[in-house]
Amino acid sequence: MAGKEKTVWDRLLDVPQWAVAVAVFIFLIIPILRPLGLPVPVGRPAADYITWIQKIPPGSNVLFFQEMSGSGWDEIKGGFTSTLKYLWSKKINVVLVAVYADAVPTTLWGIDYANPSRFGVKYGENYVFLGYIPGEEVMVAALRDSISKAVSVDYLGTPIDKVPLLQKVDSYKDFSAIIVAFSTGTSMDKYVRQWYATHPEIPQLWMTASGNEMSTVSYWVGGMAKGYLSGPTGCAAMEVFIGEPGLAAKITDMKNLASIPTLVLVAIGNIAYWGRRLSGRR
Amino acid sequence: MSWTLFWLGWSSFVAVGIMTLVWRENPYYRLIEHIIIGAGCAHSLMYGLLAVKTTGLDAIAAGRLQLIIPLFLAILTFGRMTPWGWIARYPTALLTAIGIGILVGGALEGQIVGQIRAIGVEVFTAKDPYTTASTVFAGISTLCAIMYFIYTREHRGVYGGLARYGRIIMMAGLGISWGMEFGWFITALGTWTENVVNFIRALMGIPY
Repeated sequence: MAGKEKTVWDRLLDVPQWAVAVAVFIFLIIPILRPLGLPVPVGRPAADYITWIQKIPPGSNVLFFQEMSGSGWDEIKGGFTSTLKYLWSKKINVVLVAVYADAVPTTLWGIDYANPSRFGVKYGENYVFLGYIPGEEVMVAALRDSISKAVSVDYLGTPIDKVPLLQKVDSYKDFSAIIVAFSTGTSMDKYVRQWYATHPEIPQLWMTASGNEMSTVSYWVGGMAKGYLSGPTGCAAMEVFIGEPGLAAKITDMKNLASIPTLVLVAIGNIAYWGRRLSGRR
Repeated sequence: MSWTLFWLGWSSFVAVGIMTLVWRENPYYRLIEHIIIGAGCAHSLMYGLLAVKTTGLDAIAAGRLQLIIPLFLAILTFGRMTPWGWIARYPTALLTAIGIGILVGGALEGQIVGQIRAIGVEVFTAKDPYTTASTVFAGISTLCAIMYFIYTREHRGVYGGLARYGRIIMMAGLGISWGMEFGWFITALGTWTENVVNFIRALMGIPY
């Protein structure tokens, strides 16, 4: 551009990064200071998730694989906590497993936030956290066949033969459903390979970050996952279903508002790019 | 100062440090980056060692002596750090073989046959023409995307056109993925911003 006068297209394309960030921040802060309570759209995958979770019989057991670490936790924490609240309210027993080491703190935070004492459920009897079990796909397959052969103690260090719930449940035969909170676009494959391929009768309900939607949707269409919650929007649907819009609903408000300047800037950027290109200056 | 306020302040300090990257690379950002990487590594190492104890050593102490074999193989993987690096090949080869063996069996039914069957079932049992058309479109698009990756035949003529269509479909899919990924970033940014706002509120004594 040296020696040439800047056109309006050049100026539009030279908007500094910090200015874009400030515009997004302004729209992010509005719902934090003043919650908007925008309506929560319920997509078909989330509706199916809600339908299928209602089919889990009270008093039965579910195995909950939790993969999400801190980086994506904000995307699903609303779905994780509202799912636990629903399961506990129906006295459905939950066995939780952290698939990765950094999924342990998020799981503990989620359990604490869901507040088990509010539902009258007890650790060891109605829910148990096995902690981080290494092995990923091998571990997922091992827990399908026998928890007692794969794990010796729970997260608190209690031998599993001393945990009342784990005396009742051991393998896929004892679970009415599995719930998976997965982190990356291919993480769910292992549950399809190790659980659906061998036991398609056990329904799988998933939740994940919105960025993984494209790779998740084909499994839902194919019936491998009966339903899924995608990002805060999907999780907010679950929160609304249990009558407690909270974590995810607030984030959905933020995302909706922050998307406005983003879309405007994307449009301006494209118009400026084509304007400069068509006017003969690259 | 309560511990809640301290941790809120700490998380705000970290959040602001990360967000300064939109201004430019700076020492504050680098400090936070190093803290996060260091803490993450330490945390993973701690839980990894704990898992060796709970799923290995404790079980061996309880009488499951056969677990000595995987523990011994795990120790062999550190052979790479010794002059006898070749000994690490045995556990690596075994892990690879077990991994492939476990993966392949389920992949065939769950990821290939099951997906193809789902398309077939959907085409013939769909309740409305839109679903039928959508499924046929998805099936054809998938085939064309696979064609794009066949390099043993030159992409020319009708075949080339189909492969090009497959590429466009993949690019459209990646575009949607990126849009959704952006949503993930906005979520993180929003939560960090909320932390900072809540810290300021707490300092001012405003309920949050």
